[in-house]
Amino acid sequence: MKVCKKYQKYLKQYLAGEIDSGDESRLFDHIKNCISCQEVFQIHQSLADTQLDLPLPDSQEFVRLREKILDKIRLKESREPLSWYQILSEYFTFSFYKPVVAAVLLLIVFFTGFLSQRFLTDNRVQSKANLLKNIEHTAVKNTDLKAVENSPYIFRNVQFRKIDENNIALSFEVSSHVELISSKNDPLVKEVLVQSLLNPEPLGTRLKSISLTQDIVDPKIKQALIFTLQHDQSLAVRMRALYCLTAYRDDKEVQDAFLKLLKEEESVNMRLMAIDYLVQTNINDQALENTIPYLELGRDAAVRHKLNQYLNIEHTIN
Amino acid sequence: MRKTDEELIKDVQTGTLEAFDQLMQRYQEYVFRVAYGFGKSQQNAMDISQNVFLKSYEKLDSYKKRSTFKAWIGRIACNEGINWAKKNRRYISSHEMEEVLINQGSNISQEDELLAKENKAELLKSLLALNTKYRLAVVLRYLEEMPIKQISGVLNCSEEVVKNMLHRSLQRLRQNLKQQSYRGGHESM
Repeated sequence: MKVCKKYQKYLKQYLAGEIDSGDESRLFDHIKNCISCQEVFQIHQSLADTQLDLPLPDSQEFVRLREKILDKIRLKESREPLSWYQILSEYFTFSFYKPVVAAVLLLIVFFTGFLSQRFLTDNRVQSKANLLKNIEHTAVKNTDLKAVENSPYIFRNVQFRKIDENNIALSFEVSSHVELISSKNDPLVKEVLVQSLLNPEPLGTRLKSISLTQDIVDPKIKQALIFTLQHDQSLAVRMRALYCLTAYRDDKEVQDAFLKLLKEEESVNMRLMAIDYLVQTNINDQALENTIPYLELGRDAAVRHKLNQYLNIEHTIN
Repeated sequence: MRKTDEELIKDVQTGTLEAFDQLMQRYQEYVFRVAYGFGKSQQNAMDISQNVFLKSYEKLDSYKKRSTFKAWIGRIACNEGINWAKKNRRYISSHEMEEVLINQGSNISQEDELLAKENKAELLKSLLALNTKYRLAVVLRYLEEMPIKQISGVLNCSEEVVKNMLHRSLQRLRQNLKQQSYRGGHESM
């Protein structure tokens, strides 16, 4: 049996308490004659008018419930905040999660390793470029020998190769091995050349360095050549340095170095060469003459003779 | 002076637990009735009520004044009731229901003219047999005397849907009562 469809709308409005008085009287007229609508209406009346109270607990039951709830809240709030370890261990107590967690951790380790490997490789390339940039920057800054001596970069296993008139192939080690081709006037080339003269490189390297300096006129190289002239153990290297310094023969510093060489150099040949070079310079005779008292009569006879010859001084061979 | 719900909520949010006790006192019977619609026994309704109040305490910061506190806590009660019913569906014994109905039946007034054919116990039995949402709509409308708008807020549906639900609920109650009366008639024969 179905409720009369025609008055369903009114009944719905009535049940919701939203019916207007005209519709309400029409609905009541209908209800008088329609049994199914009457029955629904009666149930509505039953529910609305009857005290159909649910069996409520007594007030003490509610008091106990509230106390229980408040105790739970207090207990929860008094708890210390959980550590990460506790949270994780609480989270992963189910055995189902364990393999999943293990797999996730493994994946994380794998990807971290992979990414860090890539990062390190990139980093190495990056750091090499940075190193080279820093070396070049230092080379520009190091304008004299003292600065080179105090340079933070020391070059080892230095190799040179002349590529053409303008380029030199360099190979050396700083903190890592570096190979590059640079212009001979590149500050880095000069820096490495100077360092190879200052540091105990093999004889061949030193000789090669000096021969390369021939084409490069630079105050720093000049100073390195003077240093080599005065300190290198090898006569061949010293002679080569002497020859290269003739490029700077009018330089006061070089002339002083030659004069000092006349007084201190062991090799007679070297001193004779120095005189040859000095007489070609604008050096005054007095400076040359001042060296004579330092020359021993017997051992330095050849040097004294050459000097006297140049100065037109009458000498006596003992 | 009696504090409003909003004032009590503010007090709770500043850490006064006594204010929450007062809120619970205000709404304990309402929450119980809604919970009863799901639990169908006093003990179950008390269990659900406990969950409702604990949840409402946790979520109190998310309470917006767009709706009344009653509607808000009613919605929590519905959700908790649905969750409880899902978990405990097979554990609601007919024995529990009968117990309730027997107790309720003892209070039936034989003088009630409108329940001449069906007494309160029968009506309640029919009501509890309704599907959860329909039952809840009836409880809120007739027991809590809530306006349609507020019920729609609690049940999270439109007012039109609530009206339809109420109408259908009454039709089903009518059918249930008829069937009971038919069975009763056969049993007495």
